[in-house]
Amino acid sequence: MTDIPSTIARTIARPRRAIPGEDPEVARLSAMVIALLGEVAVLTERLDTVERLLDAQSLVTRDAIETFAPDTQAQGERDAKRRALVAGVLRPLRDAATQQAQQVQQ
Amino acid sequence: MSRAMISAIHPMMPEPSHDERAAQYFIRDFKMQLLEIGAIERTVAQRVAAATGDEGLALQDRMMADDVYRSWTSLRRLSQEMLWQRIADSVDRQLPALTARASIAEPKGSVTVDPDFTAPAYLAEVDVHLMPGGYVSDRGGDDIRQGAIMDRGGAVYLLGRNGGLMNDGRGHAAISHVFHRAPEFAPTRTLDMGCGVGASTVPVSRYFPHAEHVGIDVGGAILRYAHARAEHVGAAIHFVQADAEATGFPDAHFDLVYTCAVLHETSHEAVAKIVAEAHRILRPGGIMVHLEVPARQDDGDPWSYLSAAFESLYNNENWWHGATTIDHGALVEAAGFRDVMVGYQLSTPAAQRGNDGFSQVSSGAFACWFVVSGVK
Repeated sequence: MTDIPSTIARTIARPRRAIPGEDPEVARLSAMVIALLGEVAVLTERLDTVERLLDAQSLVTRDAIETFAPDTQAQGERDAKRRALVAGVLRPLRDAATQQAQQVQQ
Repeated sequence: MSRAMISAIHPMMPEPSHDERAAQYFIRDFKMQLLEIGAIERTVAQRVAAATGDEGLALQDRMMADDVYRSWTSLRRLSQEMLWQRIADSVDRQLPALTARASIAEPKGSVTVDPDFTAPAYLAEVDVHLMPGGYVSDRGGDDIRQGAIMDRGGAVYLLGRNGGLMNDGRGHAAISHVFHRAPEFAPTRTLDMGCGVGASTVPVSRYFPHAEHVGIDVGGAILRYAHARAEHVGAAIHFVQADAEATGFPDAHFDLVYTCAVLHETSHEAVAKIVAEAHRILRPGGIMVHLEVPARQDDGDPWSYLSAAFESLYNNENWWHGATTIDHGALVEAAGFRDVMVGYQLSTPAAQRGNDGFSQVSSGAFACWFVVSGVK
C-alpha cells in the first residue's frame, strides 16, 4: 500500500504529540543548536582524518579522506573526542539534573 | 559499536560516506549522553516519588512540570527524530544502487506483496519509533527505501546492543528459548510474525537449514528489502505481506510461530487475535514464542511509569503501557496453549540445544528478553 506521494517522503513522524509546557521557540532553538553540534562533530572528524593522513603521508587526496579507515586506537581517540564534545554541549542539562538530584536528596 | 560493526556487513546495508558515518556516531553518542542524564533523572524521580507519594500519572505530571525533565524529554525525542532524518538522507543518496542490488537473479526465497493489503490501524496511522512513514510506507514497484532506513536506523537506534549491524540478537534468543523447551526441536515450517527486515528471521533460518521459513509484515518496501537482504546473506526465506491477526495460512501449517519485540506495537484487542491466530496455524505439538522487551511496570520502580509514558507519547510506542502491564501467561493459556512459560531468556550469539538460559529474573535490557511461550 502507498501512504505517501511517490516522490516526497514525510520527514516528521506522525503523530507528533505536544510536550506539555514546551516552548516551541526554545524547542526549535534547541534543535538548531543540536544540529549545529552534529555538524561540528562531523567537521571535527573530517579534520581528524586530514590530520592523520597528513601525518602519515605527504600527499592527501579527497579519495584518501573519503576511504580513510581509522585503526582501533585512532577510533578510540575519535570516540573519546566526540563524547567529550557532546558531553560539553549537554553539560547545562546534566548540571541542572545533578543539582536537582542533590536538592531532592537534602 | 566498533567501526567494524558500523561498516557494511551485507550488500543491502546502506553504507555511510565519511561524513554520514561521523554523523551516525554523533547521533549514537548524543543518545548515550541523554541515557546517562536519564539515569540522573531516574534518581530525581525516585526521590520525588518518595517525598510526595506520587506515582503513575501524578508523578508524570509533576515531573513534566519541571523544566529540567521537560528539556530532557524534548532532547530525547529530538535525538530520535535526528536519527531517522540522518539515516534517510544517507539512504536516499544511494537508493538507486541499493535498488539495483535488491534485484536477485536466482532467488532461493521469495517476496509476495499484496496490492490490496490493508494494514491494521495501529501500524497504518502511527509511525512507530518516530520513523517517518512507519512500517507501511511503500512507493510500489521495486521500492525498498523504508526497509533500508529501518535496517540501518535500527542498528543505530539500539546502539549496537542487539547483535551489532545484523541486529540478530533476538532471533538467537528466541531459538535459545525453543531449545530450552525442546532440545531436539526440528521444525518443517517456521513463521516470523512482524519480521521487519528479517533481522531475526535470518538467524532462525540458520538453525534449521532444511525447514521452510516464512516472515510476514505489513509493509511492501520493508518486505522487498528483507528478501534482498536475506538472499545476499544466503538465507532462503519467503516474505509475505500479511496481517498477524489473520495470516491467511492453512490450519496446522507451522511447527514454530514466533514474534520478536512485535506484540508491544499492537493493541489489547490485536494481541489476543494474534495469539489465537498462532494457535490456529500451529500443528498440534507446535511451539509459539513471543519475545518482548524486559520492561514491566509492576517492578516497583516509579521510573517504569515515566519510561512507559515517554515511549508511548514521544516515541510513538502505541501500546507500551498495555504491553508492560498485561498478563501474558493468562492470555496465552486462554488461547488454548499448554505448558506455558513466562520469564526471561538470556541473550546469546549462538543458541545451544538444551541450554538453560531461562529464568524468572530479568538481567536487564539487551542482556535478556522477556519471553512467553506455549505448546499447542
